[in-house]
This record gives sequence, structure tokens and C-alpha cells, in this order.
Amino acid sequence: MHLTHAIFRLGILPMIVLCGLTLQAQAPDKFRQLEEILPTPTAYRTASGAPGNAYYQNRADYAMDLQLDDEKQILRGEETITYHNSSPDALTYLWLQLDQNIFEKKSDRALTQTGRLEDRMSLDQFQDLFMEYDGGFKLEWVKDTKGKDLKYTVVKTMMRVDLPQPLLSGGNFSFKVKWWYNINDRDKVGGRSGYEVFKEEGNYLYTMAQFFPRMCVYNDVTGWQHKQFLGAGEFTLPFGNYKVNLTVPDDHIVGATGVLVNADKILSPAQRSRLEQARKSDRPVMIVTPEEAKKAEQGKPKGNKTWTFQADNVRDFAFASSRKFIWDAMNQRVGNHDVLCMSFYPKEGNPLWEQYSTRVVAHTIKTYSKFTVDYSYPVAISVHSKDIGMEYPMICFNGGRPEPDGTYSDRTKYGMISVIIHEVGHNFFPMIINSDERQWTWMDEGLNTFVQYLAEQEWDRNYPSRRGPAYKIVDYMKGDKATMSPIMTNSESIRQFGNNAYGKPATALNILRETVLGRELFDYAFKEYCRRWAFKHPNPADLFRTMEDASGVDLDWFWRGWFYGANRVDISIDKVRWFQPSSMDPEKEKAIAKEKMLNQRDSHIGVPRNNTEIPQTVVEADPGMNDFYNRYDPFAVTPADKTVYEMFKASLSPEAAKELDKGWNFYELTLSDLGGLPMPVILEFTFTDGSKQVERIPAEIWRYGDSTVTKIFKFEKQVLSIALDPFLETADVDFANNHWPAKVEPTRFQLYQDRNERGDNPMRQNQNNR
Amino acid sequence: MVRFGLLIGFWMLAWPLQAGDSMHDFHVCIMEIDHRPSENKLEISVKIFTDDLENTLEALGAPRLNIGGGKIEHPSTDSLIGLYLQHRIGLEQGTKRLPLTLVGKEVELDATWCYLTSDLNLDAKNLKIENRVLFERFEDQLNILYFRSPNGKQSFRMVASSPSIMVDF
Repeated sequence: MHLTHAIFRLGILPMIVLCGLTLQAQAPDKFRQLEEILPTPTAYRTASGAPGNAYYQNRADYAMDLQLDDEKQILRGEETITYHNSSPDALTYLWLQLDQNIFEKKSDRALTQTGRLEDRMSLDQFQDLFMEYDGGFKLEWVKDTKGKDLKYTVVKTMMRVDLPQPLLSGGNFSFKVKWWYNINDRDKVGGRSGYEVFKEEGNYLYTMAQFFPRMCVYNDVTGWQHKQFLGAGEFTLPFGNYKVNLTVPDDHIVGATGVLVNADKILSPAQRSRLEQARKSDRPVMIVTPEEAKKAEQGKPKGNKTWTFQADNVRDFAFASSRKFIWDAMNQRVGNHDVLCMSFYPKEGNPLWEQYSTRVVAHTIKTYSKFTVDYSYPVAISVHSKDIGMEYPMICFNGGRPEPDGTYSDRTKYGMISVIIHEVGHNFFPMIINSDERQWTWMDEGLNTFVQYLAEQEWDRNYPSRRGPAYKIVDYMKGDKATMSPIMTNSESIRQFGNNAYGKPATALNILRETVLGRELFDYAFKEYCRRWAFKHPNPADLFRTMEDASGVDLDWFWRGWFYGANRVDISIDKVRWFQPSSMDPEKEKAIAKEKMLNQRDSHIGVPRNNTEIPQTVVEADPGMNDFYNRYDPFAVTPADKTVYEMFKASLSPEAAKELDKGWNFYELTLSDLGGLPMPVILEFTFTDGSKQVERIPAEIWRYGDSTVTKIFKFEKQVLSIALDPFLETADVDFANNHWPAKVEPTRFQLYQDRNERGDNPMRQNQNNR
Repeated sequence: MVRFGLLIGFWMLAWPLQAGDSMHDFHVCIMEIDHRPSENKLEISVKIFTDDLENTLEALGAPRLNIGGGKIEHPSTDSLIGLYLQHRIGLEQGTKRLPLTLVGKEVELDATWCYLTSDLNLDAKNLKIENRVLFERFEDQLNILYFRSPNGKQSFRMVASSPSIMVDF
């Protein structure tokens, strides 16, 4: 870094031209418009980012009868699917997803999993290598509604059903599938759905999803979206109505997507009256108390019960079932309707779950509704499963379990609240604003993580959010950019899923909101995106285009840098030069010039030495050695100087004369974009009187492709120091080059050592205080 | 062919469970190394997500540590972390493996910063750095290294398939 700290006395004020920019070497065009990358707008999807006049989406309605076998941990089901073809195309076959097939031994996931022999590990892990789990769907048949077999072909995690005749545009087709499968033990096999067994008491807790053959999406972007499921890219599903009869042991409590329509047959009068009470309560009310759940845990079922759920306009169905469940509920009003917020949890979740879960559910749908669209489903449910977080429409499965003795760390507490906000938040992305998860994980995870951050900050002041603020992504982004993949990478190919699909897009949106657009413009545009695409299937371009279209701000450089590129933000202050304009007043200027000359002359090391060592010079000793030049003062103001000054003053307008009197300071800053991801330049000037002023310069300062720019700032006050990105809002990865004068920042190691030497290690203090 | 030795220790396939976690964690460990030629030593700061560190140590047979939990933190926490890091972080000059000393640790939100030092061999011209922290836990674990010396800054990424790098002095 080169610093120049010098005073240049400029000649004539009107000649100072404030040209902010100077052009330097040409670099890649980071401000090139995105049209050549984005898909061509169509009548289905417009150039403004909205659904077009020909937009369509197909629908799938399901009627299902399910039996949960708690003895053998098997789920059996029979479904009738009615598929509505709203596309302009005739379909000769239908594609369904068989997600359970990922647990087949010869699944692509298993075959393509790369593995290594590692160091010595635990016996459990060794045993896992020999674990036999007979997973995957066992399909019994696929028939039409008259009972005639339909030809079907299983292609790994997908199934094609051939239609007897083409399904024309506007038509529908009903067919039936019968299947069963062995439910996976989530502790051993993993999985988004599965069971947890409580060995001491012999009870099971089922959190069930992806348990039935589900229709794929057919649309204008992918045709049939039947990209194989490899485990990472989640689910792309059409909307439809579900009616589900769920037969479980009669001592089980069930929570599911949708509304329980036969509560009068299933619930006791006491439970029904508590449920009614909960519908009017703004605090959780117990429907099944911990005492009742404890009693059920110790009992045995006498038979089965069939719970019937109805869910409209949803893209999936999931449920949870166990005799261990405690169940509480409360009401949350959103817009003009009531939402019943509920939690189902075993006693192992307490005391955390009864205190927080349902309240967090209510907070989440309220806050998300404010930033996106009103939550329009009748219920929102959080179910406690051991250590997972997974979302389905109206219901999600969340971890966050206290220690067996009921104590818990703050990490467990905030982890639990965060995961509930996150998973309930998924009701908005992708359950309602239904992006293609198989293709673009970031479209639901990134957007959801962003709103999760907003909701966390409204839950508790200074909530310890893991993602959101710009500076939290720096550790990840400051790494070698050659090995980073852009956000716009397919779900199944993303390395560093957590950073790339969750953290980085969430941070990018937060930066867009706080720094690039400002909260008002951003919130309007983001809400418009949600409104346009609620209950529809948006694509990345629809988001990019809507955010620009509604905000009126060209954001192509931002999408290009943050979503299509792998560069990082690193802006540096290279050089600062200080100028003051000349007043032209000979009385002032000549005095300054004289002082400068004398200063320079008298500063020399020889002067004080000579003053003491040379008692008398020749001229001092002999006045006869003086002439005109010994008396001449080149800095004396002459009548000619005065005349010139009078003429200059007469040429100035009164405004210019006033400005000149103020004694401006000009600072020429040289800035470099070292990271390659252009961002706004935020500068905080601290003046010699201690006051501060912030200048915010839009990212367009980099629009000519320069890696280095210079810009002039003028102040009446004199600048003491300058800080770049003082509010940590741009994710600048290197702060060492963000200060003038340069600041040497101690390393973390040094800080730790210093603190320890002073004996005020915060951790130790904390321990002593407890 | 590698022969399994159950009595020696259990070899395992690093085959993590299906990614079933929709609130996907960061599988990143940050290691900062400052080379101080004047003192002939390395100052090392390692940032590991606390839950990952705790779960990994537990899987290796450690008790519940409650890292950063004040009075409920297990008294052996520091020595177990030190032991783990000595096995997972390797500094080599020529054929000599440099000893690592855990100076201390501190908890910052959901991460634990561990501080270590190591004395350098004066004559060696380069240093091999290996960081295999949490590789046994996550297949996509990424360990980022920032190496700073009077000659400047360098950054490296270590993944399971290439867990070590070489820096020249």
C-alpha cells in the first residue's frame, strides 16, 4: 500500500475539476447485462419475471389408505392419483418419483458414494458396514380405476406409467398404486423420514415422508422433472388435494399435513374440548398432557384407529405417529384467517419443547407472512425428532433434544429455535413459493435461510444467528476462489452444501436488502416475487427479473457476481492524497509559503548544531558584507501582488468567493477491487475534531471494468482517518487493506494470548461466575 | 489389500449417512497459521464448530464434554481436544513431525477456537501441513488454511482426497 500524505497547493480554484473516475486497465465486464445468460422470456414466463399469460401448471390429487405396522415397522399403502393435464401438450406417459428406492442396495446413491478407509473408529460404525436393511418400495401393482393393470417401468428412483391413450390438454387421468416398504431406522440408516426407537421402553416414534409414489412436475422449463434422486436435491412436486386415511395403533397420536376431519371419532371429548380452547388461545394449550403421554407409553394398543386428514392445494403429505406424543396447540391470526399452530413431542424433548416449540411456530408464520405472502394453510406443525430438521407442507420434523437430566446448553436451545424457524419457514419456500428443489437447492434453502435470519432477529434481540450478516460468510469466501462453485450449481453437484446453498445466497440477499437496495425497495420487490409465484413454480430467472423489475434497479452485476461467479469481495484503500485550494490572497499564501520554506530550512539536522558550534558567521561579524539581498524578503506582499488579488476577487461570483473562504480539504482516494466481486464502497471519514461522516458509493463506480478507481471527496474539516466497510456489510474478506492510515490488526492468536496474559479470558470469567 | 484388525482398531469406511438434514450445517474448519521467524515458531488458531467437535470426540469414545459449558464442561476437555488435534493436524519438516502444544481454547457462538503452537526446525526450507480434522465425520468436510508469514498470505483448501499441502520458507 502506498500512502501519500502531502499538501499540494493548487493554483486557481476554478480549475479544479472533480472528475470522480479515471480509467485504467480493462478487465472482464462485470456489469454486462444478463440477458444472454437468462432463458429467453416466453408467454409462460415474462421478461419482467412474472408468470406469463400462457403460464400453466398440472395438478395431482391423491386419495390414500395407509396402514402403519408398529410391530414390524412396515408402511403399507394404496393410493388413487388423479392427474390433471393443464399443459398445452398431450402426454403419452406419466412419471412418478420413488424416493424410497434410494435405500435400495444398488441405488445410484450407494453406487456413486465415494468412500475412504479412515482411521480407527467406533464399534458402532464398524457394525454399520455389515448392516442389512431391506429398503426401497415394494410395488404390488399399478392399475387403472377399473382394476386393469397399467404397464409401468421403474428407473431407479423414478417410475414411468404408460397411458392407454394420450392424456390430452385439459384432460385428467386416474390410476391406483399399491405398495409397501420397510421403514428405516433413522439412527442407523439416516434419512429425512424414518423411525426412532426408544429401546428401554420399546416404543417407536415415526416421522414419515416420501413414503408414497409421488407425481413428478411437468412444465415449460424441464418437461418432466425426473432427474434421479441421489440424496441431496430434494423434491419437485405439483400441487393438489389430498385425502388420507391413516390406520395406526389405537394408542397413537398423529400429526399430519392438513386438517383432521374425523376428530369426533378419534379424539376423546376432553381432547376435543381442549382443542377448541386452543383455537381461541394465544398461548399453547395441552391437548395431550405429559402425564397422559407417559401413561400411554407404558400401555399397549387394543386395536387400530383410522385418522382421516384433508389437505388442499399442497405439494406433498407427511405425518408423525407415536404413543409417546405430548400435543399442544395455540392460535395465530395471519391476515384474515386463523392458523392452528401445534407441536408433537415425546417427553425427551422437554423442558425445551413445551416452552418454545409452538410459540416459535406461531412467530415464524407471522414473521414470514410479513416479508412474503400470508400463510394460507389452516395448521402449522412442529414435530420433535432426534437430530434432524426436515420440512413438509404444514408439518416439519425438528431436532433439539435436552440432556437426559433435562438440562441443556444454550447451543441446544438456539439450535432448536433456529431449526424450527427454518423448517416451519420452508412452508413458504418451497411449499408455497414452489421452486424446483431437485435443480436449485439455493432457491428454497437460500431464500428460506435469509427470512429465517429476519425471523430470528425478531424473536430475540441480538439472536445468535449462524447465517445472515455479511461478515459471517467471510471465513468461507476468503478461501481460494479457484475451488469455489457458484451458487448457480445443480443441487446434486454442490460441494459445501451449507455454505453454498444456504449461507452464501442468504448473505447475498441480506446485502441486497441492507446495502444495495435498502430495506424499503428490497422488501417491496421480494414480496412481489413471493406474491407472483405463490402456489406456482418459479425459476432462478423469475427471481432475478422480478427483483429488478419491481425495484427499478439494475442488479445484473449483483446476480452475475454473487450467483453466477465464485469471486469474493476485497476492496482496498491503496492511496490517499490531500489537497487544499489556494485562496490567492497574497497575505495568506505568501505567509504559508514562507512558513513552509523556513520549516524545511530549519528542520535540517545541521541547523541546530551549527547554531551552537558556529558562534558567529562572517556576515554577522561584519555588517559591511550585507547588500540588498540580505534585506530582501521574497515573501513580502508587494503592491503588484495586491492588484492581481483584487482583480481575481472581482472575477469571482459571490458564491465562489464564499466557498473559497471556507478553506476546503480535498482527498483523492485510490481504491482497488482485488477480489473481483464488485460492491458498493462504504467509507467512514473521521475528522481531526473527532466527528465522522459516512459516504456510500454505489457499485456502479466499478462499471467500466476497472480494477482501480480514484475518487475525490471534499470536506471543510481535515480528515484524520478513513475506514472502508466500517459496518461490516459487504463481506469484504480482508480488513488489513481497509484503513487509512494502515492499521495492523493483531491475529486471533495474539489477541487470545494478550487476554490470557491479562487474565481476563471471557471463558474463564464465565466459568467463575457460574 | 488392507487387512482389518479388530484388535488393533476398527477401520471404517468414511460413508456418512444420507444427507437428511434440511438445515444443512457448514462442514468447514478454519485454520490460521502465523509463521514468526524471529521466534522460530508457528502460532496456530483452529476454528471448529463445537457440536461437530463434540460429536466426533464422543464417537471416538470420549464422554460428553459440554465444551464451553462452564462448570458442566468435562474437566478433561482441553486434554482430549489437544490429543485429537495432535492426531489430526500434522506439521512435518523433512521426516520430522513437529510437536504441537495446545495453548488454550475459547468458545465463540457455535464454534470453538483452539490455539496451538509449534517450534520450527531452523534448517528446513519448507513445511508440510496436514489438516484432517472432522474428515472422519463428514464426507464433504473442507478445511481451509490461511498461512501468513513475512512473505505474505497464502490460502489453501484441504479435503479428504488431498489432506496436506506444502509451504516454502
